[in-house]
Amino acid sequence: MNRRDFLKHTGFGLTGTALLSTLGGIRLAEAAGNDYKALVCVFLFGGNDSNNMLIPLDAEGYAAYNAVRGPTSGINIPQSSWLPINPSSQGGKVFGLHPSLASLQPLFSQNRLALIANTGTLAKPTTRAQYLLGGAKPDNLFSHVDQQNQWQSATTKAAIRPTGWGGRLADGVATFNAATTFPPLASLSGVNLFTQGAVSSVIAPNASSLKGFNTSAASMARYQAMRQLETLSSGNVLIKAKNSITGKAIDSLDTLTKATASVPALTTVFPGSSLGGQLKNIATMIAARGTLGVQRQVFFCSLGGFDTHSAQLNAQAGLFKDLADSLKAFQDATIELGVDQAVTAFTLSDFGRTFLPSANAGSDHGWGSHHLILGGAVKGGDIYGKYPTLQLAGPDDADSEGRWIPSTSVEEYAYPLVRWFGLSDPKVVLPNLSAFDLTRKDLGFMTGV
Amino acid sequence: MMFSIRSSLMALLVSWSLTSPAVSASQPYWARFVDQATFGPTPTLLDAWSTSDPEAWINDQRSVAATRYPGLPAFPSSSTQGCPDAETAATCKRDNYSMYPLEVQFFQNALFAPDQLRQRVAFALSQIFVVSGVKISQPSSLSPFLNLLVDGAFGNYRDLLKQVTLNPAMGYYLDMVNNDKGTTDGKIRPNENYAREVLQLFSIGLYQLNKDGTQKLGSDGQPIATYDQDTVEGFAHVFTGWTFGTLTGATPKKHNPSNYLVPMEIYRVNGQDTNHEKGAKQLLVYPGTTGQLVAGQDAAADLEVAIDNIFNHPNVGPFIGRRLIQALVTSNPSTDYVARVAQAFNNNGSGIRGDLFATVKAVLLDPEARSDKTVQVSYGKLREPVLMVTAFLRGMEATSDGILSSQTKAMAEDVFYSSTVFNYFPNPYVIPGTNLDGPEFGVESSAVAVARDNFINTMVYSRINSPATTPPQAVSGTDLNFSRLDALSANSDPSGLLDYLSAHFLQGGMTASMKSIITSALNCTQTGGKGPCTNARDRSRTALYLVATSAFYQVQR
Repeated sequence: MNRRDFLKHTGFGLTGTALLSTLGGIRLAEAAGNDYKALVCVFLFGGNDSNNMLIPLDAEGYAAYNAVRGPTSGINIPQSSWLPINPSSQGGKVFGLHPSLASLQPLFSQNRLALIANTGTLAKPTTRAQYLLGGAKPDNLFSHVDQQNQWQSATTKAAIRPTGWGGRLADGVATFNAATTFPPLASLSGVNLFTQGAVSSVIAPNASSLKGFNTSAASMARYQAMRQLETLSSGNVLIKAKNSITGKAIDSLDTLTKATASVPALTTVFPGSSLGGQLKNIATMIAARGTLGVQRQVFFCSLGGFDTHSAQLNAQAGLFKDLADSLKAFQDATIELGVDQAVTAFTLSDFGRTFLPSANAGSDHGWGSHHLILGGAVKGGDIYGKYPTLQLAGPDDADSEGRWIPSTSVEEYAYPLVRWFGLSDPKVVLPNLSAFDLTRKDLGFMTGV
Repeated sequence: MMFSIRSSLMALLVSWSLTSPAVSASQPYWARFVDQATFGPTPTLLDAWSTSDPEAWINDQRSVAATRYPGLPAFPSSSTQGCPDAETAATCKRDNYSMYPLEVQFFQNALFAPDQLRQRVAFALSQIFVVSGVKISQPSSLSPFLNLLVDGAFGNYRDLLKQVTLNPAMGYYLDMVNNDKGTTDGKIRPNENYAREVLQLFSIGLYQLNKDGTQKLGSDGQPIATYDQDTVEGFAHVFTGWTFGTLTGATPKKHNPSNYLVPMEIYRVNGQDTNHEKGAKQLLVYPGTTGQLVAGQDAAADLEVAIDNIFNHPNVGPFIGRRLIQALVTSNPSTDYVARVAQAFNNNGSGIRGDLFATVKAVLLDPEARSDKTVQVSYGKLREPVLMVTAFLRGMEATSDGILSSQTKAMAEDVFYSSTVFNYFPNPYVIPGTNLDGPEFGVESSAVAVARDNFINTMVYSRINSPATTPPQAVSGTDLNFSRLDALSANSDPSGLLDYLSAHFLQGGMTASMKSIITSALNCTQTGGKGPCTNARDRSRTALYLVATSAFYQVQR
């Protein structure tokens, strides 16, 4: 395990003097100092069934779970299999984590991991009665792509914002990154709305930077011609957009490749999974923060496969094990790098799933769901927000299938993270924030805010 | 009666007006058509420009025999059981438990099959009706589904929709197979997965559309939903009671063992569809129907009504039409263009709705597809990685064994492994910083952008080596054929080389500035300062690399 796993530098590096312009963004001196912070969004694509991630384990709570998701439901997890956790609030109740989240259980006890209950897209605080009367509700509830976009851009409208709240956050803290042109946003999971800023650019690290060039005169001439062609205007908007993406990609990947080549390899061992690899790459980029000259970074990575309409038990167990082991390794890596107080990871997902099982031992698209927040600056060991009443057609159900109406909005979830990141005016990032009660005492999951 | 006479007359007029140009007006005119209708122009195809006409070519393509995917044997569900021999297990698993053989066939078809239009349309359809190897484990399971699309590419949309619905790969992918009726205690209810996605992705989308593809707006100025949760549940109830086809000699069961080779069937006990939800069902509501499906019908009858209910929704023409335009021609068609294609879908000229051949023909022969591109700032589409790879290889008369899927996977288009039912890239997707659609930009990250360039680099300066195949193939790996370029590159004057690249890769659109920039990178060494350039291949490579990596090529116009 070494840095070559991260960026296989198989091509010939762009080291010629003519190419030095691509290094312009690097602040070579040790720069980041102590004021460094990173947010890491882990998106659980498909809609995580958090009804099988976190349940109350006391007799009454488990009975409510078992009444709907009993042994014949096809998606039952026996009471003895749940991993008990003891949140400081929630009335002293014992809760259970999914058995495959074993590597996260100790982090909860160490107060590094918190959960936030029943969170989702909301136009304003909404009760079941208001919902059933047709009150303000997010557009296209239960549709994957719409809900993903709404979670990522912090809106409830189908006409999505052109930027994500991660991107707007990077825009908002741009002064912290004034010393570099290296992108403050990085996606290890391709293009996504979350890391789309209005002005900040985003890098998607690749296994290699641009290949095929060397310092010969012919090669340098070809490289220069290539870069010149990028600047040719045709008037066509698609060509211009493609040129812009390519140009930034070549420059930022080259910068990153050089920067990560100079950092010591991490000793923390990550799972060999896709998510493990993504989080390892993020840790490596964080390790290179000094060379890159960044003081605020927003990362996006993802794990797919949560759309468990069928055969959910096995599928989700595998996903949760990957998620837990990868996050645990990431937490260890931030400790290894001495930045565990400066790095916070958190999950998002399309939606929760119906509490009522569907045919084929699965569950269908729901709404509110529980999420994980992890890091040294998290007030861990607790469950924040309001856990729903596990009752079909009960006070938290949007209908009769257990689609929980969120008791906490995406905005309220993001708010402590955004403030912790150092943004003075969170409304720039979360325009709909004023629709919610910011004096709520049950959402203070970050230290120092 | 009146209607059919009138529509026949219309058909005659349309047909007359479209056939009027006997041949292509110019090589760029033809090159542009070929870029849209095939997996990329080959020199041979391009050279035939002066005797070729788009409409005649489309008509010819209809009768070219379909190149189909092989029927593969079903293996045991456990790969350890199916591939017990330790020495051959890796190859055995690749060939029988991954989509690999289908990917190879796909690229061979794309590069070399004569039924280019059918293959290209089938590929477009595979990105509307998405089934993925992320969930389907055996290629034998997916192959019949791919053949449905190849066979149905020029057929009727309703037939295709029904076949897709009853295909077991789709059934397994979106959980219609073994979808039980709800339990009497209400503790389990029908699965909503196929019900939701068939509406949102395969047919009508989320909002009511005008014929030109724009959203209808309600009195509040907001788009109007095409369906609600009750409708999803109605369709979920329709799609109950089906299971895999009963294997020969087996006793039918409520949940038959896997069988991907024949359509799904209804589980019956003494002829009764006992696993079908019998209650009344809410289907789509639109002018002409209240969407009420009466209680008590047989599962087969319910399915026919439901398919008709979707098929006749006024959204299908503009929804599917726009997708096909975006797949073949341009990401931002005008509303008039969409309306003309929707009209062809709604009525092929003979009173038939859903004729995909007529729809594709309307897409490709539309004035907006055939007119001059240079004036339109929003015209064209970013070549998706697969189409970039195939067009580049066809343009360079490459030899290939078709083992190319790892190349496009590195560019976020993992053939037959779409990460979700939402396809390799999202649609709609607005290109950041613009107000234009560009679905292919939805995966164009910095990693993908550089991966594209690195693919071109590999092909131009090296080759793709393939693992030893069993049995050995006549062709192994993928190589470009430089003979045409090298002949031109020997000339110290690069204009012949650049004109060739312009004609074959840029539809004749290489500007003087582009020529000048490329020329600056072309160094010619001659023996004794005279005669042909001794480094002709270097010149070919430099010029080809610069053209193919440029946005002028990566964006198809």
